[in-house]
Amino acid sequence: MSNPLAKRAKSVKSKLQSILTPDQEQAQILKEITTKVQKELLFFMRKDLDEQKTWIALDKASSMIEELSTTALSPKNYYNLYMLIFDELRYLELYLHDEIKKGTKAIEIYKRVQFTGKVLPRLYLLVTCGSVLIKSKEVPVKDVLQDLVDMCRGIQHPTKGLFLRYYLIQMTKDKLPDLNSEYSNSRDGSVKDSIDFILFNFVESNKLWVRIQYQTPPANLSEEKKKQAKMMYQKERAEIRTLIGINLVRLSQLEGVDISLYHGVVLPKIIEQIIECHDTLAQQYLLEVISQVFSDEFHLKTLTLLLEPIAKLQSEVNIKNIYNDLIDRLIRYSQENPKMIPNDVDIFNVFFNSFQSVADTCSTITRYELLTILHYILKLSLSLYLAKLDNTEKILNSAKELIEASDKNDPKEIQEFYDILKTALEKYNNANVILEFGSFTSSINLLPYEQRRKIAHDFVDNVVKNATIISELDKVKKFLETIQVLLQDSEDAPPYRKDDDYEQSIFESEQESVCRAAHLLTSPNNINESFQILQLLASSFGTGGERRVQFTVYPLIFIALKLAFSIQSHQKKKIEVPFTAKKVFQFVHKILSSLKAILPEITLRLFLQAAQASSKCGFEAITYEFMTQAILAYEEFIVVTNQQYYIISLIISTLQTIRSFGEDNFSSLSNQCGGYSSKLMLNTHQSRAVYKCGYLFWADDVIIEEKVKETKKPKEKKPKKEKKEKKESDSSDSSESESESESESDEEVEKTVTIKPYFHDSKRLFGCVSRAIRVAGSSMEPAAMFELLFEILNVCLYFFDKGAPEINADYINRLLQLIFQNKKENDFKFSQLVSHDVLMFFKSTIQHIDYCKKSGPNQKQYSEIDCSQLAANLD
Amino acid sequence: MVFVLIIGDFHIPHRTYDVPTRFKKLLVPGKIEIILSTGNLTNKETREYLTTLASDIHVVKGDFDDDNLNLPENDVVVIDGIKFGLVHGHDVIPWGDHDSLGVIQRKLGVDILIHGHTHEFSAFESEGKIFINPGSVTGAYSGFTEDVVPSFVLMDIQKEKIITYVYKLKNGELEVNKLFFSRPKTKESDENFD
Repeated sequence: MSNPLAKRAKSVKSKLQSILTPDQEQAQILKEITTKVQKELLFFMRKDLDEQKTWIALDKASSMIEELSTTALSPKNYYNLYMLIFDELRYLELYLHDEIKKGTKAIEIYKRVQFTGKVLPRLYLLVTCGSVLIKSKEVPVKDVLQDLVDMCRGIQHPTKGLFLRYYLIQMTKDKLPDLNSEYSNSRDGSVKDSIDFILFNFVESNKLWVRIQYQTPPANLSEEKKKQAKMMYQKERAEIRTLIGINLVRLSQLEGVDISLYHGVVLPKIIEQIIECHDTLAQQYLLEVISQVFSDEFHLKTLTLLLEPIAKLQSEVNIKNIYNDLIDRLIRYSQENPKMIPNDVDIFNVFFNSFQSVADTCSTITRYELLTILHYILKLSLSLYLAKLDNTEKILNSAKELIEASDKNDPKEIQEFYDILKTALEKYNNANVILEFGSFTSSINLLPYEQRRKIAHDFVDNVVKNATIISELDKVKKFLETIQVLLQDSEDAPPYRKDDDYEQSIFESEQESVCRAAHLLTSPNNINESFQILQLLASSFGTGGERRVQFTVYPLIFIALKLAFSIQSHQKKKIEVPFTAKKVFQFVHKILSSLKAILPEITLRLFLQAAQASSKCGFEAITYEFMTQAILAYEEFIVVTNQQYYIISLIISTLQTIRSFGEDNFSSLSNQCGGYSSKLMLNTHQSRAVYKCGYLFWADDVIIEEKVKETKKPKEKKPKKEKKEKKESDSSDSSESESESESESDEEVEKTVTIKPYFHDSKRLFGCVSRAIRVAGSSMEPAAMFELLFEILNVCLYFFDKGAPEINADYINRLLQLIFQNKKENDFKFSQLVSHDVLMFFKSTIQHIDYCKKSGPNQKQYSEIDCSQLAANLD
Repeated sequence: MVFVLIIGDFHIPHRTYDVPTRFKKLLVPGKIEIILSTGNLTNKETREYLTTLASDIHVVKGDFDDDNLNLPENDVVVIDGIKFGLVHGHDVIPWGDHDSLGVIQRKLGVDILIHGHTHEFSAFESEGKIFINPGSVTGAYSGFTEDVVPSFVLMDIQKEKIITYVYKLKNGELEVNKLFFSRPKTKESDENFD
């Protein structure tokens, strides 16, 4: 019990054998061998070399190499041991070189080591001395290479043989006959000899590598451990794959390997081995290495050959990754070297044919993988041959067939199919091209609801983002067909739930995109086709149901009104038109009439817009009808108090801009406006709406024609206030007088109107204003009352300024008196009656009057207004 | 120096599909401090677009703006000591009338009144107050005129003056004009009143 720790260590060690994992066990073995090599052999070997006893040194080296004969190590650990010994052998090689320089014949040493007793050390030493022999040039290089590569066959144990061949390829580096190499001449051989040498070594190495998986673990292991060891071998086999890859790397480094040697000798041999080895790991890895180590230029010229084995690969090989690697490289290459793409090969066809043979022959490949491959080929084709629409069509058709082949596609397949369509969409970035494809529309219709909806939305957004004008009727038809899922309820759609906020926001976003795109479905300068498109849109949107129409009716009507204006402007410029704007207004009327029951407020507003437009185009009867429809809708559907005021104001304001009416039509409409205004529930609403009606009867924007002016008009000169119009000056050259007068255009636009006395009806104006004051005065709330009275004071000043005879200084003085009276009656200070803002409003109104008294063209008239009494009692 | 973007009457998606690309390239984040918008956006996406340009945004309700956007009918914003009034203008009668706009200016008690609705740029001064209509940034259809020129306004408020840049797209060509206004005098006495 003197040393408890030692005792414990001993017991641990005894347990070790049973509890060590294969990994730990391997580490232990490696450690033991390494220690042996390092401590004994290496030490002596170096010492011996220093003492220049060549033969003893070679013997020692032989013993050291002997350690590589172990079968106890897994491939990875064997590699570690190999690296240790490799470093020492480099030391030996250098020493031998020195010896040669001193006069020893390389061939002598080479022959001598052939007598080494054990096979493995003999072959390692032969390779080492062979390398020295090549350098000495005592014998032809090709003979040495041939000799070595043949003799390596002597080791058939997979791991040992593979490492030996690895050693061979490492040691012969820089010593192979090649273009511009010192070892290339008629005696030593040519690049062809190097190719043969490497290819032979490659094939043999690969066979050994494949066999590692069948290697038997040491016999003394238990069955369980043998199983674990086998699994580890398979895993570690993958980790040492570069031992094979190095051969291909070496081939790619040979300058002498030109395209014809590559195509005629190198690649066929590699491909042959890939197919013959029937090993998944090797096939996958080697195809990857080919694609990585040889140039893209070579790939482009040997595509057919390179793609040929793909259909014959083991079923577990991930074919899509092979396509992916290669295509990624080619796309990058083509982007960097656009001029290097060969014209003589149709790269697309090569890939597409390869895809077809894979699809036909590989029974185990999944639809998903095939779709993925199609997607890669599509990407390649779009980056190489964007203009070749046939290619894309082929891909789309093949993808479609794959999807159609199953009644139930899994989500991965659907996603891939969606991605294919999206790639086409984004790469072309032009709806007009997309619509050329026969299969795009039908492809979309194969998708389930959610994805169909998504791709349709993508499509519409793409049109908007690129401002793609779709101007042909047929294409518009096809476009609408393609995005049908957004335009109507689909049979496969889940039931609509209005309370689902997420769904609702997607739905809105879709409809808004559709509305935006609608503006791009037009044939500029072709009125006939534009109108046909519009009719098509209307019939398509018409099937959308209320929840869609409430969005889509807007663009429909505004596109129509724009078209009407465009017809009008054509006519003004004396350009022939196929029909007049009347036809368009009839279309508008038809649509709005059909929707007024389900969307009363929206159609009402649009009727008003239509009225404004038709009036501008000079259609009195149509305008009257539109206004009447708006008023009818108001009467029937607008029932909420606030909404009533809002809408009647819009109606009055719209009517105010319309100057095309004859007296009867105008009277009828203005009477209705007046009637509905005075029926409003709240005093404030009623008063405001009524004074707004006043503006109908005193139109400031009616220009009086010359003749009429002389005889009739009471208001000759429009009193103009001092109003400084800002001139725009070009920012780059401010001194230039190239400026335009802004604004005031409202007055000048409507030129053709002759004087219509009912638009200057001072009596009716007076009636409206007076009624507005009466209603305001009856208000029970002083704050609201004063605010209204101040507002009406401003309205009166407006008409006073415009010269309306009934709204004269006396009238305004009476209104001011009324305000003063009311204030007295309430017996309060203004500041107690109204808010600060409202009082400020009143004060600035008084200031405005003062301003007009002091300056401006109407000083004289303004001087008659007396606000001294109020001005003195403003608190 | 404060940069104020005055912009409005988008009417997306009712009347047009987007803000013109030429304008979008000019309107980049980081330059504008405040946005005053005359409304009629009319969708949420347009408001989100504005929020990408500046953080201080004031929008009033146009006659086609959805109630769900919860926009006020009018707004008063003080920028660098100057009182800005903001209305869409559909409630002004007659639409776009200078004298009627004067009434709104007095009612809001502002130095500069920003208004829209007519889709036609205008700028004028009256009784020492400034009135700006930035027009329609998208050149959206308007019942007022057959040819709408897309436009917006950028205001540079300086110590002494206000420089107003007017951006227009005439037949696809960008046109920038400069207007100079002197700073409106804000009367101290107004504030002390009552």
